Amino acid sequence: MYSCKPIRKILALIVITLFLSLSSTSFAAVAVPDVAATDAAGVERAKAGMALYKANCTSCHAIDRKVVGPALAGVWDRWESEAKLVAWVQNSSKLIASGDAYANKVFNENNKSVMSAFPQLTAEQVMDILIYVKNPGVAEPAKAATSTDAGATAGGAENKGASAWYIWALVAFLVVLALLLWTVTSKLDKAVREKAGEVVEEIPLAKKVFSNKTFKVLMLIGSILLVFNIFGGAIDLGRSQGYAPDQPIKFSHALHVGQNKIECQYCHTGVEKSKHASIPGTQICMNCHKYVQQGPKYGKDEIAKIYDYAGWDVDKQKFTQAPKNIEWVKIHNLPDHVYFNHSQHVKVGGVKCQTCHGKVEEYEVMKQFAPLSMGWCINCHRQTEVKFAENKYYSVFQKYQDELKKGTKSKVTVEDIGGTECQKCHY
Amino acid sequence: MLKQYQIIFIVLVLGLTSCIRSSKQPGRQYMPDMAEAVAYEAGSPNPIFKDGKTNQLAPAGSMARGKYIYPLSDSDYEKSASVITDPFTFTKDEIEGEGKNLFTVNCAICHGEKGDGQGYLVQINKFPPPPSYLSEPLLSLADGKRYHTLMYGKNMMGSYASQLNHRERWLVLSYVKSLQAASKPAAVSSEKTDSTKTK
Repeated sequence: MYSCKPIRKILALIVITLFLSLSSTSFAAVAVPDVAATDAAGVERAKAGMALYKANCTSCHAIDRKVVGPALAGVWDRWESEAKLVAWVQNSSKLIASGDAYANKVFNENNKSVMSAFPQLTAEQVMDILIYVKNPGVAEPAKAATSTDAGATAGGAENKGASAWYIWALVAFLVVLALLLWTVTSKLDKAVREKAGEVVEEIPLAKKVFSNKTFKVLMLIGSILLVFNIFGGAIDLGRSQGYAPDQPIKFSHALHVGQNKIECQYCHTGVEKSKHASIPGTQICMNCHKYVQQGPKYGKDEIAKIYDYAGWDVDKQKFTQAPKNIEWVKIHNLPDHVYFNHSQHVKVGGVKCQTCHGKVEEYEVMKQFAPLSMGWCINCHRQTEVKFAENKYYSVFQKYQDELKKGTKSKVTVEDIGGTECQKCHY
Repeated sequence: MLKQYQIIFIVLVLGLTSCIRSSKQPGRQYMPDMAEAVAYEAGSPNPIFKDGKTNQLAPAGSMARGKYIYPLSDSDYEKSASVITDPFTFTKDEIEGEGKNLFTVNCAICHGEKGDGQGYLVQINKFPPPPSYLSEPLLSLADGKRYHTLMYGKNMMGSYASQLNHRERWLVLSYVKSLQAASKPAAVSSEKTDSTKTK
């Protein structure tokens, strides 16, 4: 009885402080209204907010997750008053310098990166942005439709790749069916004959098959195919056309180049400057994937691998570990005794990437399109016309220049300027 | 008779199937004496270096001839406005040709062909829109701050230091300026001549 009193007092105190703290946050938070699609004035404000949000905020903020700055959803509950939030948006450094506790907390929690000042935004405009952030659906109902569109096309690309597999399964099924029918008919035939009183001689299956006429014809066709196959196989030695190995990350050119229309040179930066087209480092992946954390096909799994290789911590939005090497499997391998230079072909010759690599923008898995054989190289050198008039370098080829002028020569090919000489590629 | 056919059959089956190659496998090689490189190739793994790569950065303190060293660190954004200036004078052909090409490859996918922040990735809702070049504050952003942004990135934008060299960075920025000049109404043409003068 005696000892209960202080405990009660403490309990009461706790309850009161809890109540006070709860009520203080709920009273002091910024009141952002929910907007229904039917509320014309609200929708109008949300739309105005969307325009401001896209012009000013998106380079650092996303609604539902932390990117450079914190997620904007719920920001209305985190700040104690509208005035302070507006002051923060208009000039965050000033608010931090004034010693505001929450402003300093936000600053320290976000790698001490300074939020740009937006003195041009009025308090009403800041509220418009918040209304949009709280009700993004009413301002742009079309957004959901486009994202499902992207998903559908990605699915289509997958079906295309799998179709060859289905065809083989179908062929196998038909063969099995044919065999089954054949055994059934022969058994029935035998039964009928036995019933008729004939003495049926048991012929072993192997003999039956090998003495069959159709089978002999098939073997003849097979032998002809065999000859072609031997030659084809011999020619194919040392070539890897169609080689499409599994890669450490399931990178899809169909998605990045086909759907997103990113230029080849954005990632393959060396293609115009160097012998190698160059495989991009993780820092180039991270230009976009700092923000894009989820893909349409593999979800977060494949992009998480980039973060792992790059040493990027998604929660902290910081590089926390040393980057690791991505061991991509090299697909296009020329023999060591052949010299090839990308910049010569792409920059000087103006050859399109697709000429040698095929429609990469449609490849879900990267593969070797061309045979990369010597005949293939030489053939292109014989047929490709050099931009003779446009390139000043070729002005020294006096004989060809004269012949072009006279009209005795209609075009100058790569072969004409030494493109089929041995030492052009072998040295 | 039977035996002959059996032998032919076996030869056929072996002959027709043995050349089938899975797309996961590279082609077969016959006496690849000169096909495999003896030296380590660029981009190939390398057991000699600690990080396992053949491509190595230049040793600390060394410097390629003619290489530009950027004097500022990541946090010097404000300082860059007064310290960094454009040392190049590009011809119109360079800006409209190579400059435009570099912009299309590296920038337009987000910033848009016109620099209005409406690139293709923004239009298809895959990436948030960057601020427009054609309105403030980017319209009158100092040259140095623009260059600094290319070197270290800013906000959602990453660094383009590895993709573009010193000259290409200023060339792209010149093209951005030409976009900004083209979007301005004729009334502010005095400013336009100013910007060309300072170059």
